[in-house]
Amino acid sequence: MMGSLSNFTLRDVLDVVGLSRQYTVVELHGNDGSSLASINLKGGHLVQSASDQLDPREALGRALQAPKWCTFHVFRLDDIDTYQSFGQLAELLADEAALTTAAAAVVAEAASMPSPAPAAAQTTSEPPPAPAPAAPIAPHAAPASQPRAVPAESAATATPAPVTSGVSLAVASPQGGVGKTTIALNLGICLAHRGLRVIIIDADVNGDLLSLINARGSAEIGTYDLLHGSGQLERALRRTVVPGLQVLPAAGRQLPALALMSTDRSAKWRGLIRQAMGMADIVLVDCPAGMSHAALEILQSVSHVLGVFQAETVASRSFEMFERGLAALAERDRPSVVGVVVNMLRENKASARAYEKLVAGDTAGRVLKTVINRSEAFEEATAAATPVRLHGGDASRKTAFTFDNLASEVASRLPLPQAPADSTGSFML
Amino acid sequence: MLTHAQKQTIRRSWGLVAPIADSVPDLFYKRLFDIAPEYRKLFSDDMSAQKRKLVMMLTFVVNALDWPDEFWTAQVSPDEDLVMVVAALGRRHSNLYKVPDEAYAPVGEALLWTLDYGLGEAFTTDVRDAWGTLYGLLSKCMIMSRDLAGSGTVVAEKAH
Repeated sequence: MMGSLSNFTLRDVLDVVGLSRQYTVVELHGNDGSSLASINLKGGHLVQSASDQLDPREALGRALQAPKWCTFHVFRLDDIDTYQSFGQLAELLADEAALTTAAAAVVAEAASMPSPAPAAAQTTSEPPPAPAPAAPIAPHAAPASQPRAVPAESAATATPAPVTSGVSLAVASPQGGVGKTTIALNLGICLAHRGLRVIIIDADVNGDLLSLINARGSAEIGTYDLLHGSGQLERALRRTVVPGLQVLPAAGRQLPALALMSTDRSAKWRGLIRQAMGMADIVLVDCPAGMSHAALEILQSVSHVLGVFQAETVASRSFEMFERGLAALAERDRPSVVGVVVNMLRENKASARAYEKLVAGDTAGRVLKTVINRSEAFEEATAAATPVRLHGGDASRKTAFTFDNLASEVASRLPLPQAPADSTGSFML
Repeated sequence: MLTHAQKQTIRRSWGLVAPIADSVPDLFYKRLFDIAPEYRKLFSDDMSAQKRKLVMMLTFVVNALDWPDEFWTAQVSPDEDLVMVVAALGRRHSNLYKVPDEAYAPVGEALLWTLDYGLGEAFTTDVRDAWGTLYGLLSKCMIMSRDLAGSGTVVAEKAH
C-alpha cells in the first residue's frame, strides 16, 4: 500500500493497517525520498522494530504531525519471535485525538486572553525540529509577574507552587543503558541519608525506576499522568523505606498518553518540577535517554544537570553530544552542569583509556572524581529488587560507599541547605 | 477507527442477515445498478458467480474482523488476514477490472441499503454507523492498495 498524505490522513492509514494481524511497518517519506518516521504494528498493537532507537509512541506522535506532502508506504514484515507492545493502536489514537482537541481548546482560550499565546500548545503540522524550541521563559522559579504559559499547564500543576530556592537536578545522558536510573536512585538515597528531603521524578518510561526495584505494581499515577493533567502530585508520590525520599513513578497504571509525546510539554514540566521543589530540598529527574526533544524539555526546566557516561571508547563522542544538546538551549534556559559521572569503569585498558581521554578533554573540570566501577553488586541488587545502596553483601558495601562519595561530591557543587548536623553519618561518636 | 463494540455490532447484525444470505447479492446488485446503471457493463451477463463471491467476501470480512486481543501476537496467514485479502481485492479492482475510485461511494450506498432492507427494524443507527465505518475502511484499504507505479509490487514484503 502506498499513497500521499494529501489523499489519506495518517489516521486513515493506521485505521486500516490496525485491522491487520500481520507484522507491518508504515513508513513516511519526504518528497526527496528521505525516511521521516516508521511505525511498526502487530495485531493492532504498536511495537518497536529492532533498529528503531526512538520510543515508538514518540515516533507515532511525530508521524501524526507529518505534513501533507509526505508519502506513506506499508510493508508486511516476517513475524518475529517476541513482540513488545507499546499500547493498543486504537487507544493510543483515541488518547491523541482527545489531547489534540484539548490542546486546540487551550490555544483558543489563550488566544482570547490579553497575554501572548503560549508556545506550549502548538498544533503545527510541521515535524518538530530536533532541539526543543527555546521557550520564551526563564527556567526556574519565575517571579509571579512573569506567568509562564499558564493556560497550557494542567490543573494539577497550574496551582502556583511556593517559590523556593531549592535545587532541581536532571540526571541525563546522550546514550541509553549507561546507568542513569541506577545513579538517580542511589544518589537520591544517599542525599536523603544526609538529611535532605528528596523527590525523584522518573521521566523515563522505558528505563522505569520502579521496575528496577520490582515495585511497578505500586504505581497508580505517574509523571506523565500529571503532565497530562490528571491526578495530584501529593497522591502520585510513593514513599520509600528511606526517610525523606519519595519517588514519582514514570507511568501509572496506564502507559503515557500518546499526545504527550507529540506536543511541547516544556511548560508542564516547569510546573511539575516547581511544584515538587516546593515539597523537597532537591528534586532529581531521571531523564529519558538521549539529548532528544523529550530530554531537552526537562533540561530547560531544571536548575542543574548531572551527565552520566559509560567508560567506553565512544564516551568522548557522547560527551560532545551532551554539550551540544545543552548548547541548543537558550542561555537563560540552560541548566548549570553540576558535573559528569563516569559509570561502569572496567578493569581493562580500553575502559581506562576512555576515561583518561574524557578527563584529558575536560577543560571545564566537569568530570567528577568519583568513578563508579562495573560491579556484580548491581546485578545482585537488581536480582534482589533492592537499590544497591541498601543491599547487603561485600560487593554492595563497596559500591554503596562509592555512591556516598558521589552524593558528597554532587552536594558540594549544589546550593543545598545545610543538613542537620546529626544526620551526616559521622563515624566518630 | 472501528471500535470493539462496532465489531461486535457488525458480527451480530451479519448473523441476523444469514437466513436471507442468498437474497443479499440480489438486493445489492439491483440497488447498485439502480443508482449507478453505468457500472452494469463492468460485470458479465451471468452474475451468479459474482453474487457468490460477494457473500463469501462479506462473510470473510466479518469473521476476520473480530478476534480476542490476547491473541495479538498470533501468526496469521496472509490469506486469512483481513487487510492483506482486501488489499489484494483492491488491486484486482483497479488493475484488472479497471474500477474507478468514484465507484466506491455507490457500492457503499448499495451495501447499506441492502442491510437496511434485510434487517428492517434491527438496522439501528449503531448498526448503520458500524457498517458505514467498516465500509469506509475497506474502501480506503482497496484504494490505497492500487498499483500506482504499475509494477504490481506495491504491497511488498520488505526484506530485512
